[in-house]
Amino acid sequence: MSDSPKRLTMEELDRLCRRRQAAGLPMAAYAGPLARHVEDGDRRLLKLQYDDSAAALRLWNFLLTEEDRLHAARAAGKKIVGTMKDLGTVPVMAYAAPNLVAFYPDGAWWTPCVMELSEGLFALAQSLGLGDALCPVRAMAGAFVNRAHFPIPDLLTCSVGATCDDFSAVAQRLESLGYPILWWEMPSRRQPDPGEPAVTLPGGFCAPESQVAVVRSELERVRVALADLAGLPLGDEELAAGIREANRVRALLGDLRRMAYTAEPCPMPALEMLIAEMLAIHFCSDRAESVAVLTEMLDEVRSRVDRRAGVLAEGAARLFWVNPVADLRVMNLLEDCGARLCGTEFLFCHALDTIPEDLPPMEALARMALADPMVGPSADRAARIVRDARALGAEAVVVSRIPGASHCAMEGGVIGRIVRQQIGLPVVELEVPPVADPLWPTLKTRLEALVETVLERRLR
Amino acid sequence: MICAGIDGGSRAIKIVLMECGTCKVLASGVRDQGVHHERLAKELLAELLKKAKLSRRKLARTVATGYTRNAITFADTTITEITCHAAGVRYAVPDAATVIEIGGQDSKLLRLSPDGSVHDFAMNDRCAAGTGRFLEVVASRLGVGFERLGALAHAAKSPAPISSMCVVFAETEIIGLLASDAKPADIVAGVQASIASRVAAMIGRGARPPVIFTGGVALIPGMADALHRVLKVPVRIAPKPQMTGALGAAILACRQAAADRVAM
Amino acid sequence: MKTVIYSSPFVPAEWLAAHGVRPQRIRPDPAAALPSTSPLTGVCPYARAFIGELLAARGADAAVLATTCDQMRRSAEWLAASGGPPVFLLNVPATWQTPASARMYRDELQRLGRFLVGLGGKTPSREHLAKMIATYDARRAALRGTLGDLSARQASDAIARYDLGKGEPAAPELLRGGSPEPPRSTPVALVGGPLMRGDERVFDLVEQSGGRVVLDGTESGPRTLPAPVDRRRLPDNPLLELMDAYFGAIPDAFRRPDTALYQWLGRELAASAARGIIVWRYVWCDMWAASATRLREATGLPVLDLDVSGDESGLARTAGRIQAFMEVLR
Repeated sequence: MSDSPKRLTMEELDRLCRRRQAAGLPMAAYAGPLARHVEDGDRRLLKLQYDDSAAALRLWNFLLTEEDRLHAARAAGKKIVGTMKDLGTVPVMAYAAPNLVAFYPDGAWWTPCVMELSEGLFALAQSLGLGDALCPVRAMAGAFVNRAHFPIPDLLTCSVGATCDDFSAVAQRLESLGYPILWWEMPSRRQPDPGEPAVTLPGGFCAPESQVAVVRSELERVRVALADLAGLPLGDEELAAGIREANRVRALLGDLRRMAYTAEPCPMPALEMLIAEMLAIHFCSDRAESVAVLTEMLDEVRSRVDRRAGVLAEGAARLFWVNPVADLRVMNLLEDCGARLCGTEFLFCHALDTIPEDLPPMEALARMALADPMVGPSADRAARIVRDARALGAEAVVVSRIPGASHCAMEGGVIGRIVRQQIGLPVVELEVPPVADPLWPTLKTRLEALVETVLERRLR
Repeated sequence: MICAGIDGGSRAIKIVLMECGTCKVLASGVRDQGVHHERLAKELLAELLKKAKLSRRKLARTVATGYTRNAITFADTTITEITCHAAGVRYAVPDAATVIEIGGQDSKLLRLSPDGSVHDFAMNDRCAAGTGRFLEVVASRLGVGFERLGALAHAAKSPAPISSMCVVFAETEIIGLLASDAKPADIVAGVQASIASRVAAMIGRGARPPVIFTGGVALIPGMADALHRVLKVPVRIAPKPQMTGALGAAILACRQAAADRVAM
Repeated sequence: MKTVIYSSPFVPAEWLAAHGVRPQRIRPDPAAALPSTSPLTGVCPYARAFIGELLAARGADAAVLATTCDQMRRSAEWLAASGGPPVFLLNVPATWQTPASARMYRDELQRLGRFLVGLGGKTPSREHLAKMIATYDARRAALRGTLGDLSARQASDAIARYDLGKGEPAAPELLRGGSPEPPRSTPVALVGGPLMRGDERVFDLVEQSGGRVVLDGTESGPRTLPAPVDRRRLPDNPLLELMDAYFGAIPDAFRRPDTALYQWLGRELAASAARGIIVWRYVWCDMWAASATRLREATGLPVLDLDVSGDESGLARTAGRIQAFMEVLR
């Protein structure tokens, strides 16, 4: 919306929104000032800084109206699937049926809406025995109890096995409250034994064929449940079409990431890139609209790159960021400290890869699911981070710990060690709680020190 | 050209005035930290300028670092204490490869490149157990002054194992040890060993020598030895360890002032 | 003969023994625990102790860890990179409702078998496997036969001895502590995760506070003893019998859903007439984190949620909380 892109406060962004509305410029039906979401209770929005583009405004409105969409889908007679833990596979299957909508109840933990809602959802979770020793995903349990957010799904699926214990405990607690769950097994991905038939998964990990077969048979159970819920067949043809559509989203996101993370100056802020990436996993409950939103984002970034217009000053330190942050303000902070994102691994890089279209759909989906970086060793995850960080010209790596998340205890050390050994980059670990305000000075010092280190290294 | 480095730490404010051409320290000083960080920094700076017979106008540049750096608004720039300690230690110990800084609120490990810049760093700033705060707690429990801790540790025969991860629980452990007649000297030595092991954990696999120990806690006798025992490499205390942050800030101020001149 | 240590109840001792290695299900020594500082901040004391035990070269030639908890799953990776003894990660399915999960468990056991052969063991014949299963089944039957005569502390010690492969169950009088039953003591259940060496003190702490543990539902207690095998079917398909006895029968918190655990608890609590429940879990253990509230809801009994730090400094705290709980129950 301006020749010199910049970050705005929410009030400033809303003024631009109202000007667009007054000028009769085309806007999505769900668009509007973000302030209306603050009135609903999403107070954290007041503290964030936003990109000033129409594309970003649409992205934010798309994110923040998801619950409205879910309720509208229910009212229109669609069936709602709550898919838990697996990131990016079951929704591809669900959206292959025209009358199913899938979303991640556990995705609620990272959106601004829960962070400053009078601590309501976390307090509710606490009352269920889910305290802050568990990761912020516990907010989901509170949302099921107070029913004030998303509609209660018609079907809940949850992957277990090689998944985080805290998530598993939260989901089990949910079931004990009377919400039946279709549990499906995710084996702990391992290297094939010598002589064992192996498969290369999308993204480059290797796994035994037998493990792919396990996941395929488990996803088959999910497929049957989805088909029963939809009352429609969900055969290979439907699934193949669903995969193609999912790949459209992934392709757009791939282009967006490549362009935004490699261009100089940085054309799109870290916060909007984080939100955009999240669309890969369940399309924010509207697959077609997510294509439109990402297309507009890509057009905006392309336009900025063409005219060398950046939202940050040139030369910002290039950070590769590992793990999503519970407090979205930290995405603003990294830029305030003189850095920019040049790559990410937000726990679901497998959901950004193209799903093979030259394989039977269930085989393709099984391979995709098993490629989840979290179901295998941290060293595998680190290897992918090294590969991507190197390719994207990262100058440092930040590993953001999610408080209470059981996988974070050891993996930061593993990732740090491997990154240092293989590409010699400095690595900093940060712990980011859902409301990071009390830790602001320490987070700021670490990020500033990392930027200083990067800038000094450039001089050598 | 004269520049100033101000280290607004959690416990004390330290300032160094440096003549940039010769890298000579013209004056330096320390004052206890208080509530009004900026006012205290201004007062100390004025005192040092007077001592060095300089006026404020003579200062080409001022860099602030440390916990309260953002409160020192009269500084021209702020730089984190990580970068400043690296510069300060390298000035005093040109071949330093690893720097351990233990302050009142946090502890840091810096790995330096051959040219003295920071290659990588790690910090413990969420847990008091690896910081000077732990020693303060011990001193308070034992009813001794902070400055006596070193002498006590020196008299230790058998350091008491302190197992708690948290300083609050460790304090409970210390109470228990005193109740079972453990000697204060052994308790202090145990606390030093505990701090050293937490710092060593930040280092991971091997500290590249020379290892230089700096920060206020380095002034306490026995801490360097405790680090040496855990790291199994010699640990040298930086000259004037409490001042390396401010010294580094002054050095970096000189560099920035010189760069500004070239740019003009 | 190589010694292989493990801690998960889903690792069948007789499977290891049949392959010609010495199985030892250990209660790790907390003194061996690696420090809780980085890079192991947030790792539970049990996992740190297991890692420490293996790296301390106390006679184990290899270890089998299981995927039944994240901490141990990640510990396996950490150990594999540490250059210590070889480690096998047994992928125990969390689901149990489908034939596929049982097949997965079977395939993992066979993969474990290949690992054991790589250590110098030998693939057992069907007959040898059946014989070994029968032997262990008999030992467990003998063990079960004695447990009823023992205090909870004695029973825990007896199971620990059995787990370490120390032959026939010791006579009750040779086991420490617990008996005779204290007068007017308050019966409680102890439920939760595994015990480390020395944690059996918790039984003593309960008694010292005027209680007695009448149901040991910890992972180290009788709850996780495999079911008796069907001796008639054993010769035909010993591996299937083994799977049924272990995977098909052991109730645990990690299973999804964990229905079997709560059914077992319901039955056993009713039979034991426990008046309160102590939930035993280590700091950073997520598997049992939500169980206190659930148990309260499911049973209506008072519940003490005991998160244990695993070191000496926490002992006074643990004792104090148990004492307060027993006072409440009285």
